[in-house]
Amino acid sequence: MTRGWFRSILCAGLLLAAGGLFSSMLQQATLPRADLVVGNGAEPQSLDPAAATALPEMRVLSCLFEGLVTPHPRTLEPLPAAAASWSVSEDGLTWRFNLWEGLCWSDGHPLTAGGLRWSYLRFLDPATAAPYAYLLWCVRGARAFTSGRGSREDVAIRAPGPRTLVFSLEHPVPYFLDLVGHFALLPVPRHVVRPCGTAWVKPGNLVGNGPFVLEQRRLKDRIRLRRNPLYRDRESVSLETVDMLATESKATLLNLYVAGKVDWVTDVPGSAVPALLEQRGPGATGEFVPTPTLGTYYLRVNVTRPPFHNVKVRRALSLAVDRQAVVQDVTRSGEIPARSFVPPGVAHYEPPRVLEHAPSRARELLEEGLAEEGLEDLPPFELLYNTGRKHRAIAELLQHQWRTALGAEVRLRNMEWGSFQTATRTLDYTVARASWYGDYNDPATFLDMYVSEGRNNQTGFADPAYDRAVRKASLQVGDREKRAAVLRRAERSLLEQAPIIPVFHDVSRNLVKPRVTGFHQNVRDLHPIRFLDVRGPEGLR
Amino acid sequence: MSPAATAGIAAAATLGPLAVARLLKHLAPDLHVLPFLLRRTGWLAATLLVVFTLSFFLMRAVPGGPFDAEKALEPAVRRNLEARYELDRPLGEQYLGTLGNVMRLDLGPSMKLKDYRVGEVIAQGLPASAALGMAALVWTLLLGLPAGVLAAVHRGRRADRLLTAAATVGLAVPNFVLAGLLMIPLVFTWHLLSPAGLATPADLLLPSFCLGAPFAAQVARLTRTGMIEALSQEWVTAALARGLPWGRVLGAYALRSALIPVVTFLAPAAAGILTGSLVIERIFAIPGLGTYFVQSALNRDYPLAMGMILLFTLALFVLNALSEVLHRMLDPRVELR
Repeated sequence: MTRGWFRSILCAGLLLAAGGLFSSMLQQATLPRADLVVGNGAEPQSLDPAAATALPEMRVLSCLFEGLVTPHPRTLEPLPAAAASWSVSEDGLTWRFNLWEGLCWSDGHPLTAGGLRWSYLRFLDPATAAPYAYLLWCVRGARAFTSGRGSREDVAIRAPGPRTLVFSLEHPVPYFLDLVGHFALLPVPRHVVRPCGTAWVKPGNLVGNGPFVLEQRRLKDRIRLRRNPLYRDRESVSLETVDMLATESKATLLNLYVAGKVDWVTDVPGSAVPALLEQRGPGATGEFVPTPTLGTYYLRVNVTRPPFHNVKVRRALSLAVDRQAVVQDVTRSGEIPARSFVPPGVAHYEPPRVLEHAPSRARELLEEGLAEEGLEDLPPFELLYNTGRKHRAIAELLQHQWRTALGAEVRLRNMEWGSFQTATRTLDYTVARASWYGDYNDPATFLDMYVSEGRNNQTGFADPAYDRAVRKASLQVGDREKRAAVLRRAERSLLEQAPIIPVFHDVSRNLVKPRVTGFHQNVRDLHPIRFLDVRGPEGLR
Repeated sequence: MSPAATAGIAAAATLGPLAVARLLKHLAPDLHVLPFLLRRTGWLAATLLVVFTLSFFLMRAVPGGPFDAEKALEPAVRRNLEARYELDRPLGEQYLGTLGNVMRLDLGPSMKLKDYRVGEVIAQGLPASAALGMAALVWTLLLGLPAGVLAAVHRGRRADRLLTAAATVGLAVPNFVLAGLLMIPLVFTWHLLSPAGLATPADLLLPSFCLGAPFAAQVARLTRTGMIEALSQEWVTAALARGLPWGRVLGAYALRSALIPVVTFLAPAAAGILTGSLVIERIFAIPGLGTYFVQSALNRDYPLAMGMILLFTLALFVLNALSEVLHRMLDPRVELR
């Protein structure tokens, strides 16, 4: 009797617990398919623009919020967004933005210039600790404020009227419109952030001014977006619902794409690239069109370590790299062998074509360099890379190329990400792989890095002449031609001194169903979802 | 949280301890239940403290930090971030502060999933991982036990050789290979199942099978060995000679003693299965905890990594205790201490 009583209670309890578990697991999952399903890559780190750093966040944030300007989906020229128009003073120091009339947040609360000013100050506030805060440090008083040396009131962002916003800059910035269009500067609602604190990004709390609103978020699964009925330009948005999947495995995303469950995959597994390119053949649907981006894969050389403090030795390493072989045999997605550090296709700039593959010249330079150092042979050195199949394959190929061309003995050293970062930052390496993706469409996002004090320099390279040239270029705001010429000379000298050895310029690897319209390839890999539409049924082709 | 889930948790919370006490009393009438439970809880607390302390200092001894990225942070911003997560304090102070929070069941904010606290991450991921794990355990027992018994009964004959070969293959084939092989017909040729995601319970079929298959193979081998040993015992012959039906001897007596090694193997394994599988969750995009174990360590997301470690320790401890209780149920000579 007691045994039966005990058993039935135990069974009932277990059943209840299991039932609760399953229902809580599935309660959010049974959603109808969204109009557009995007394989967005990793889980977005945050829906707070000030805390965001990477592309998965950017794609979601540009749906939820809208900055002063927004890049044109094809040409990347700044289009009016929250700002209807703008003007810049003669000296390039004062930017004035006029907002549209009647702007409001997705809860109906009015959006004013004062609210935008508050949002920018929050972005700069040391308490916010925004990783991208430096993007606005060209504004007077901004740098001091973020560093804790200045006050909020001294930041030169003013709202003289409810629809007018004025920025006063320290020095002219020719790409200022690109900066205010950056996703980290997207405006956040004061009337929600203040009362809710860090919980303001939760579904139910989050309020934006973008074309979509946040309907649901499930970690490691998806973010469901729905059209914002109060959006400024709501007639131009045709998608009602959008799902942004947080699926880390590229192979899984490809499976979902093939099965018709995803319309746009933002990256594909390297091993699938040859097959995808082959399928493109005649009658191509344009589903997979790898496109050059503002990204450069390169090597850093620690110029504080002998014999690599000798410029000829570094040059020899650079000349011995067969970049064509790297993109043909390893990466194979149509990457462009690098002839410069700044990728071709950047706005208002034609990079110099300096880098080349010249093994015999490399050997000569190496011999001269070693003789200057009083050395017979190049001592063995290490090539450091972080864990990743692609990085290892490239490192192995470079090891082979340097051995064949220069007789160099190169040891490969693999580190996981955190240790790798520490090693490069503290100059505890000889040669290390690196990559850089432009923050904005301008050569400065690349060339500013290698000034002596640049925090991303990480090579020990310091050339006062280079610093002067970069500084001089930033003052040439009125004359684009002249600015480009100064930067070109600077880049040429950087490549000839070879603290860095660019290898190739990266491509975007979007895979897009033919039913998606309005998708344009561009160097920033920006595809605002607001401009996309779908036609025809989903599912298998 | 849905009402059903709340009810489930409430039921488990109230009935759980009651059931445990009742079960223990039933199993070992001479056992003092309260001191036993107190002793076990004490051990659990001590284990968690040691694990916490070791993990805390090991994590911080590893180079790198949560704010390392390809684009290095401005020193001012880095300082501000470290201040926000209290990483700028002396290590001892950080240790005591974190320990205090953990004791209050607050694991802190995740440093990479910045919109979430670690507790929320676990609350969202654990149900999916646990559901997947339970389904995998069902496969494990459903396939492993009958196969082991069948092989033992037909020892040396064709059925035995077939099942033993299948078990060897099951152990040798990694689960991601199995997943790929099964996906081709089931997903891409016949369109029976979805390639990934967790929208309906049917979506658990394939991932749980792939997760459970290697364990099923192991269980089959253990059951077979145990059964062969049990069936060769004199008491089996004696029981049969006294006219007890074959099925009863097999199911009620021989299987009971053959299960002991299975329980010993499966209880700690279940701790890993239930708290998430890295590979299977990744392949099938199951929104569980599996990937956090590795990712949080690689990202130096200290609070999330700590949460995962403590959760796993807890699961392992509870399941080991459960295994002891099961031992006692299978073999009354075992004493619970």
